[in-house]
Amino acid sequence: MFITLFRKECAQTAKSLIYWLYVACLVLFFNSQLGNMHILTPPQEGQADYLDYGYQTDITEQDIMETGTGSLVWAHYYDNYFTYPVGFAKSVSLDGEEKEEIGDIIYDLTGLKPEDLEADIAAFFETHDIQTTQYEVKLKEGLTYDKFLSEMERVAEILGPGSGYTEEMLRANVQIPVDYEGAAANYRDLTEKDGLTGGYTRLFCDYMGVVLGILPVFVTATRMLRDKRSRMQELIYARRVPSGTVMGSRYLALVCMHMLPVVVLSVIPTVNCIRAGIEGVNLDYLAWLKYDLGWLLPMVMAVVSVGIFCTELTETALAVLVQAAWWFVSLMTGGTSMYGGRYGWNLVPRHNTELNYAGFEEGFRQLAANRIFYTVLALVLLALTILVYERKRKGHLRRNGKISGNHKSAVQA
Amino acid sequence: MKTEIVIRNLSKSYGKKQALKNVDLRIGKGMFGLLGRNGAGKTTLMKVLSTLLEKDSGKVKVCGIPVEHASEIRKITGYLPQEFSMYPNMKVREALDYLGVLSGLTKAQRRERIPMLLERVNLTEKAGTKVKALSGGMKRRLGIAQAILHDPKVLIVDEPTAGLDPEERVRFRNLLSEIAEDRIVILSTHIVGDVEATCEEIAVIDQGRILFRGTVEELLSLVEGRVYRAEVSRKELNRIRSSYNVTSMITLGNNVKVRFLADTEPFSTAQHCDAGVEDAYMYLMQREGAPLCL
Amino acid sequence: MEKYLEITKVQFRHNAWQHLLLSVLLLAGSPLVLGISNLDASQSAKVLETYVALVGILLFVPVFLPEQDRDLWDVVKARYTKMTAVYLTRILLSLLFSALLTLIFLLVMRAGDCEMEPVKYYFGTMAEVIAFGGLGVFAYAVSDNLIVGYMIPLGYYVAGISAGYRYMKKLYPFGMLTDYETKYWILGAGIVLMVCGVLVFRRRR
Repeated sequence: MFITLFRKECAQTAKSLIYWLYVACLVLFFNSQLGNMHILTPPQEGQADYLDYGYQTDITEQDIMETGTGSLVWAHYYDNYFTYPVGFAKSVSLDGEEKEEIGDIIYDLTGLKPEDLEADIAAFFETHDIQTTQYEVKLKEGLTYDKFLSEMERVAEILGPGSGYTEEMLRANVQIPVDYEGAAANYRDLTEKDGLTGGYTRLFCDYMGVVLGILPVFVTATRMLRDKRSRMQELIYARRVPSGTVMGSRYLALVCMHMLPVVVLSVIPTVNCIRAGIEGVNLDYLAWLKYDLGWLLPMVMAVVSVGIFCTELTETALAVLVQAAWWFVSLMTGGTSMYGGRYGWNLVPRHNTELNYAGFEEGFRQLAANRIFYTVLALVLLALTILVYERKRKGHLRRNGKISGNHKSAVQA
Repeated sequence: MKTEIVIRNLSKSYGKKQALKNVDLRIGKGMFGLLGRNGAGKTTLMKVLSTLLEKDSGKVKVCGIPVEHASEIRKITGYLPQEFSMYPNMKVREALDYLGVLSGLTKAQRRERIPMLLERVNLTEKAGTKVKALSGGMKRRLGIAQAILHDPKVLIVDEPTAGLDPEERVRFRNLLSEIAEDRIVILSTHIVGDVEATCEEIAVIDQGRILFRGTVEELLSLVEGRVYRAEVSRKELNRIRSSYNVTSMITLGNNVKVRFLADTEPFSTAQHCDAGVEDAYMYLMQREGAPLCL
Repeated sequence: MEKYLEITKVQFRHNAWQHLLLSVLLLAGSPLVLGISNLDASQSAKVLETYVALVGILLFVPVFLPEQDRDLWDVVKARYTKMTAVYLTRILLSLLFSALLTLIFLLVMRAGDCEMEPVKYYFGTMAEVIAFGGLGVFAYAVSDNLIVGYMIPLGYYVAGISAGYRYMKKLYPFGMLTDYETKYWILGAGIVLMVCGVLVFRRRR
């Protein structure tokens, strides 16, 4: 019964307008972001720049300290502090006491008193271009990294969540362009460790994740509302089929139908990599499958499960609202970790480059935990949906078991 | 296993409103009519029987199976709700096939039964039509086909003739009668004619209680010999209404044709006439003190 | 006149209040996710364009919701003779709410020392609200599916963020500072779509 139902659900989905809208959105989005995918060729010595080859992976503690302190001095001097709790800039106003404390911290780090800052900033930009260079400040002799971190921790505390002064953010904010050696090293990571296709498929996942964090909820909510809209609910309720089979087959069909075009599209980057014909590459021919299943599938499962659960529970478009809010927050928070490596618990993990394999490797455990969490969450929501459905079948949780008799004529005797 | 439904002391309420009060009922093979006005508790009773509502108290057994065993009951009952439709974009054949799968029919069974049932409800020509293109009567007949798809022992039909034109209504009743040859068919309605024409056994329900249970003849015998008709002026009508049980009236210009119940001959212009189910029904309703607007 | 007041009252009691409440929550909850004080001109524009304008989707899209159920629609149709008038009243109601909410939000931002040209920013945001709403109403009417009504304007929003002005030209939704002329274009498109949506939905039933 399960397999037949699954097939029928798939067929029904394939016949619905909104499913094809979904496919069209995916293809359009893919085309706009990855349509002209250019496969990186090995860096050449003496090239004009290496901007395409990412950032230095071996950042020194000195780099972190100089850039971090510089940005703090800048903010303090202009009394203009911002945090990014979910991606939007949020201006933080500090009271006199807090300002003084920041001033003290700056003194501890640089040896500069508040009244010296203006002169230092001016001096720095005498020799540097204000448009392109980040302000850096000379640190006090003998400042240790630990001392620096503990001071910054205090700053982060004062400013509140989303500030740029946590160790993670301080490190992420240092993006030093690579020279030839760095470029070659990054490229080697891509071709050897990542099998070339790995990097591009990851980039594919990064982009497609942006739309897959929301789109499946539309198809799912439409499917779930169809029973109510076509007044088919009771015909199904009264049949012998177990609730788990109805909802399980529906869920599986929705997940599969959503993944189908994704899988097809995901092969394209791999094909591009093969066609680029770069020598000395250890191509990973199955990267697309691994990433589809490991990165995107848990996400689709989670979004579909939110869709079936909210819709079955309320019989309204609530799921769209819930998922839109979740997606919005995910995207905005993800905006501060675009370069990958810091995946956290975000539904839409970001890794907006084919490079940075080092970051991926470092963040892999977190990413795996993240994906497993969403898979489990999806299954829990599915189980709850089945429970809700079972209750509704027995007349509970329904707003009106019967449309009340008011609009019918009175007794016709 | 006996084809029989036994209901004992069944009660069900929605919040404060009690929809069924200590209902006792035994229903055997054949057509069974459940008669009552809107809101009397018919739908609630039918939903309890088809496991779409859980009862509060009492015992209900369908063919020996307690109603708590929902999945067992669902195997042997077919249900046609009062208001239903199907996925509008599905073809008639597809919709039945889908519901057949949900009833656990194998592919071979579906292939055999669906054309047969379409034939039986006279929709063979419409097999390839989309559900949304069917008329109200056709939709009802499709509803019956879906309800007996899995050849249930019990068929529960809620207000099936509402919204049908007279000709369709007659055809529909006949269809139900045929189906009832080898199973229990419970038919709820507020239209007396439906019951009168088809059901041997009936129950009258009002405000959640069973007022009457028996055959149509038994129901008629309640008012046998006490039905009179007369043509009176509108002025006289009020007098009749205050002294007798009026069961129906038709206005003809300034006069009113009225049917009413009386124990002895009321007045000279009143003519004695045969009792109808409607008279008995009205009698029951008024005896219970529930005011009816006539 | 009385009839339209009645429509307004019914609409508010049965439907609009939920969506209005959601919009108020969306705006009132904004300090949790973004700052609305001491912003410079471009940050103010970003908040208005990418956040506040979303109330357009919340408030306009459900205008046909009461008629989703065909049976109910028959009742309504029987009661009111001019469906177009009913829809227009509802749309005006949504417009009123969104205009009011945006105004309040803008005033709060002003009070928080955000840098902006109030009239320009207000008009620009409202143009976008109407564009989102019009697109949603149109999509709902054409597909006869509320969910599509939400999906299409959200898609437009995403397109605005990912494709940008370079690709969307005059239909770019976030052009407050890039190219203010876009605001007139999307306002026009929004109104046209809304009118078409009403006409399409009326014919459909």
